Amino acid sequence: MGEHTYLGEFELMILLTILRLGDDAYGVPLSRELAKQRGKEVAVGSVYAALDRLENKGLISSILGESTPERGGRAKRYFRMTEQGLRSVHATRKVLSRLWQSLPSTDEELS
Amino acid sequence: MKSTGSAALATWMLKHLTFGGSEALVGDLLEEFLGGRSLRWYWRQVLCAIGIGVCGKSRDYAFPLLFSAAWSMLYPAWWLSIVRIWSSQTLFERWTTIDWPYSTALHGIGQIIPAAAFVWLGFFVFLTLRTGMAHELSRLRLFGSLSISLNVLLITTIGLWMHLRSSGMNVSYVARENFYSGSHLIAIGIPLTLSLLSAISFALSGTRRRRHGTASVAG
Repeated sequence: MGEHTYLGEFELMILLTILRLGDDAYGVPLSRELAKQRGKEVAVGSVYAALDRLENKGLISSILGESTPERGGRAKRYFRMTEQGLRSVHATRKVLSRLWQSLPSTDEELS
Repeated sequence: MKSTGSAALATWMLKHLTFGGSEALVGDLLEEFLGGRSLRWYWRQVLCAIGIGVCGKSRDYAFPLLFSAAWSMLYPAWWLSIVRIWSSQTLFERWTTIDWPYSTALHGIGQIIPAAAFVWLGFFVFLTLRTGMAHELSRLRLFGSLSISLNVLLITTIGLWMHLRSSGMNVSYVARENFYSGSHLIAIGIPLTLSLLSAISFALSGTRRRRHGTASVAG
């Protein structure tokens, strides 16, 4: 078995959100979707810091898209997951699934 | 559509205080702001991005700074080993017999060359420790790092000499074995640390730019 990069909670959320958004995965919808799923506001700067880390690890790649007046003439940066990124998500899921099996149920769930 | 004028200062700060911050991040925040987010939200996001940038940068440069400071502490051993070599002793003695101003110029060169060689050796040791960095470094960037370190060394050494002279210190004392103790070691370490740190920083910025260069323009 090859070496895997196991992912932190926030990095994993970002990778899964990129997958969910598909071709529309750039900063704004990424941050909105993350905020929606987590139920709280996210700092766009922290999303970009995590995206840069993931790109340095080779788990995602980015391309610059069109620039629009709504963005002050700035280009969008679209992200997509690489093959290595997908392998890392699967590896992390496998480990977490094994660990979650020993999670005891809470009283709330039993009732 | 809202005007970006009210957010101009925050936008300027975002562009200039996030260390070459991402244009895409600026665009995303502007898109949200012009789409109806409040000015307060925009400022909060900008300050947060600046804070994250500063933290990331200080983490990136903590090891180079520690390495540069630790390496500069080894300079006395390097200098004394050079002074003890018979050929360098005779060379230094020959330089003192030459008329002024050549003797002073040669004396200065005699101080700078070992220091520059020491800094460059430290730079190559750092590259060896950071596996993969040496391969990512272009020849031009390598040459730039070495020449920047030399310039920083020259400027800071001149500054140090002027400071030592103003405090009544004879520059020729540096050849004495007991010179490198206590405050002198710290004083000598400043130009060496800054010189090595500037070389490493320039090299690091090059490798990072190369990595981020993977973001290409979509057709």
